Amino acid sequence: MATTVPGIPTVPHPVLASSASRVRARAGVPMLVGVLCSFLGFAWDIQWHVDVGPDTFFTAPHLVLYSGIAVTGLVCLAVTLLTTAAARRGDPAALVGTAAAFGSYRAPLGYLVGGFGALSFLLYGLLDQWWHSVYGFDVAIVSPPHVGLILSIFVTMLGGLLVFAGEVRRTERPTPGAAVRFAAAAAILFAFLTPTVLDTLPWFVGPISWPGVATSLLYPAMLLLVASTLRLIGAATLAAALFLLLQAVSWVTIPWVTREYAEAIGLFLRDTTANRPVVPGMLPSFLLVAALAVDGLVWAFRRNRLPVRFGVPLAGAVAALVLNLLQPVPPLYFIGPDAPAEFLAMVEAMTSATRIPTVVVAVIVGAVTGWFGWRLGVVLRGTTGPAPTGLASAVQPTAVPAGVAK
Amino acid sequence: MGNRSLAAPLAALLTLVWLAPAAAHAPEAHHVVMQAGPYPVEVGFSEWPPLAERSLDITFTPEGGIEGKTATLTMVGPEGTDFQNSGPLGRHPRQRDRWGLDLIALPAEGTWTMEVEVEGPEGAGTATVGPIEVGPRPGPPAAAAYLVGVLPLVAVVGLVVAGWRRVRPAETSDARSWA
Repeated sequence: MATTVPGIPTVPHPVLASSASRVRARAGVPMLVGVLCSFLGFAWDIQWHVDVGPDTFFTAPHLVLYSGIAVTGLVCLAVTLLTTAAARRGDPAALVGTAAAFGSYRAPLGYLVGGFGALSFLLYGLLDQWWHSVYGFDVAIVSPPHVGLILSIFVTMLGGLLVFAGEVRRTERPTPGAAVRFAAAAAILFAFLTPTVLDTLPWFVGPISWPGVATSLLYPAMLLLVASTLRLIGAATLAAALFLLLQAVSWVTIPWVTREYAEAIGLFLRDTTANRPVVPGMLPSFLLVAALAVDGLVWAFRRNRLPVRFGVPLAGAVAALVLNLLQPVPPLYFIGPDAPAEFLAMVEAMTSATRIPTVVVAVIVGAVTGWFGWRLGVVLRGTTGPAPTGLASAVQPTAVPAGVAK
Repeated sequence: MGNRSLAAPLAALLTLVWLAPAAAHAPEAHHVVMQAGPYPVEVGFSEWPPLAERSLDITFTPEGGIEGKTATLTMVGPEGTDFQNSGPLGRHPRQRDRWGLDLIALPAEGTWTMEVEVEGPEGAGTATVGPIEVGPRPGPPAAAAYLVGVLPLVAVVGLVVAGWRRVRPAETSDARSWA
């Protein structure tokens, strides 16, 4: 049996081919575990810096973070090598739903993207070690190598999202397992992005509260991306419920494990820290309410055959409105009895002064990002599965050899 | 056999994870003694002269120890009060007989002052440390460094644009349908 991949010799080898398919069928779970560990390690590392402090490369939070990326990277590498080997041995089934990299390496797009993310993480890790020699150990989350590291984790998580979008598209309707894995990957990805996005601008930009706008940039996009990719009633709510679970688990475990680890190695919490959840405290608390509103609108529009072009921006705007009205600013982890009174007064004054302009901007931003999320879902569906209806001729995302039945 | 060959590196890693953070501690490079009302306070810097954005530890040791005393720090730089590094002083995490800030960085080059307000059994007093001349930010230009840092984002944008152009969602009925 011949393949159409140029430059790849064909050697039939059914055992290897079937092992490639077997590995691919089972790779999703360790991929998700790796992505989850990356998020938990990241959140723990930030908590550690805030609550305890001393940093070397060899801390337990780094161990969890780097292990998460390593697991993801190795899964991606294994799938890529096995798929490429199967392709070389002339198994056309191994090529279904794959893309090419470096000429002759092949794997489903998500594993290629995830693998590049893990590799890039390793390189920025080396850059970070050099950076520490110039600037000393970490002071701020935002430094050039940290930006590279964080973006590399983002790329790895995006790879996960593509892998699970591929799983969703493997069947006519997503299986419950595939739907949950995709929604979980989206929840982890957006939870991971939140602290970095919040940190890119001052929290008060003129009359606008940046956390309010940042929340509206991210979450309407997340809810409508999931709704668009899964096309299931309650899809956004499923993602928000998993997000809430992630927030609850990390809210409870991360401050606790930070205390326990510090104590176990003879270190102490800073006198000035309250051991409040840092990263979980930056995540919006009412995403489930926003998701119920989105799913309700999607259901009503679908039932009444109302147009998507109105329904999607409306759902995005409503999600942003709900998030901003219920929680004008996230539960800022450093505001408490130990924050300077002058600072607290400034935050209070700015919050009340920015409320109305922020809601107005957030609603507009939510409509746009909701629309973007929905369209991005269509792109995910098109690049990881069969062509979207209506454009079959323009989309052949996967290099399916001629004559091979899908 | 396989288990045994993994055991040694694993044990070494766990030992590092156990011992390395506790050993991280900056030595003192410079100190001055200031008078905060009735209290002489020794102020120590782990880096001298301080450079903008380079991390350092600053410690405060009142004569007779910190027992029964409290202190509040206000740091003022060229851009005004630095809220992130101001506030009540806690004990230094690795030198718990003194107050201290660990792994902070002064964000801007220029003249800084620190006001330390000490309260204790003999009353309250304030010492002003400074002017402290903070040197220029070391390392490569920030813009160039950030350009290297955002490369993965450029790749992601490229990936999204490529996917978007290939699928052309605006032309699909998938984008216009709820089902």
